[in-house]
Amino acid sequence: MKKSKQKILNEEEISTAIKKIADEIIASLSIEELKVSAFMGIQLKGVPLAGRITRIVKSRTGVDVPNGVLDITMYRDDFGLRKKLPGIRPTEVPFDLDGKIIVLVDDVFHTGRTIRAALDALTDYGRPDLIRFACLIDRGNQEFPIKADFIGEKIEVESGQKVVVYWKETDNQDGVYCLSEKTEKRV
Amino acid sequence: MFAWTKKDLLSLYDLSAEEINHILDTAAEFKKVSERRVKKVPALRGKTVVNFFVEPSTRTRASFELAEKRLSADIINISASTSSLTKGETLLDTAKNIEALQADIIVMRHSAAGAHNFLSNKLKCSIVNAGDGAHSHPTQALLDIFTILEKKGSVEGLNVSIIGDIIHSRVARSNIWGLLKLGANVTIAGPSTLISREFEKIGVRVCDNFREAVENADVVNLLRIQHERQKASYFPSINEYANIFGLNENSVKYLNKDALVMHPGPINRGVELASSIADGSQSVILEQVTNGIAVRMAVLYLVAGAL
Repeated sequence: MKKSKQKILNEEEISTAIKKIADEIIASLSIEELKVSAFMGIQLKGVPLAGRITRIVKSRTGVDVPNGVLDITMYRDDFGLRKKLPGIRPTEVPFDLDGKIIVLVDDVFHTGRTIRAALDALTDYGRPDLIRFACLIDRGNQEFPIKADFIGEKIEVESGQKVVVYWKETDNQDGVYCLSEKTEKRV
Repeated sequence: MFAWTKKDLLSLYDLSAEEINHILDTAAEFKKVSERRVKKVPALRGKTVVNFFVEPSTRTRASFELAEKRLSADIINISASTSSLTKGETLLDTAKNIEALQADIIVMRHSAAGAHNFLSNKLKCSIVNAGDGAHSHPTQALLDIFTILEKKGSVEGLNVSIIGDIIHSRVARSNIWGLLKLGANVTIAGPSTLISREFEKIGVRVCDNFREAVENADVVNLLRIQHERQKASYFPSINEYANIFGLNENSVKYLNKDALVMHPGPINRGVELASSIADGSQSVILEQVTNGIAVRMAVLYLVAGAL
């Protein structure tokens, strides 16, 4: 088994990608709409991203969009199929979702299963008027008919490769890496 | 992050501090589910849970049932009187038949200590102990500890006193195991016929004096005096017990002002606990009931995921 780790985005490129997401959100939503919006970071790595988008949106428009945190573990579609049960992390929804515009925020958009689960979770908390989805990396290979609305960077990787985002807040550095694990196929 | 691997919950005796803390952390998130408008998550959708209560129970069964429903599991209830145990079927045969119904989890209460351990080795499905004889009642202790944690922030170093009929109590045993593992100082007290010095061997302070047990306690957990036991004359009279070991208007003066008053229910008002204290500001008895659902959701979720 051969492992390789390749850097795809550095700190500066990540910063540019986040600015792009914020600009796309601002272009898509009016100031009035931003005032009834909230950004929901998906646990774990979507949470710091939601915070950073919020800071940029605030500096450009003056609107301080509230943040929430969503853990989708209870809504997964692979319960009992994984060898290790993922731990449940906190969900925090410090506002009423009814009538709000919600932007779901995650680091890597891959199969679409996380977003499917997030939509179910979100609608159990209330009835937003509009739900949109922002991601730092869209790596393709979606398995569900779900698309991202605001994308930091689109990349192409093989389906067996893994894209991992590191944040200063949690991992002491900003970086996006592509991990490859080449295994010899057993006949 | 810690990953849960056990398919059964038999007793807190078998769990590490890390495992107990993982259940409690998970329960904190499930508690929030019950506070939402939609009090339900799809986590156990498509799983079948059988509540098999060979010994009668109202509150534990209702709490488990609600926990299962909030996890979207399909459930059926079997009680002793309606089961074929009354026709002479063995416990193993009944349990195997339940498993043949494709049950994923059996939540069982049984009067024989160790009944769950016996079945867990024979069955593939998960077994959750909802009480076995005088041995163990892990979810009750978990909800007690969860309530303490919520109110006090930490269990380590706290002085917890459990008062009443200790030797016949599965609630006491489970609390003792769980609390000791999390670093609490545990005291037990009661009439000398209902406590045992044996508990000193595992690090419990044993006293036969109510005042000594209650002074300096951060938590006082009063157990129900089981009237049915009175036939065996463990103490002279209910009145005498209430006077010597009951928490009442007179003995409450020994209690710290910020101590929690707990009781697993059902309360004998005026025996182990006076009404004014049961309904007073230090009582967390009804919060224990609410927290029971969250703790049971966490346990069911974890054991089902470990299949």
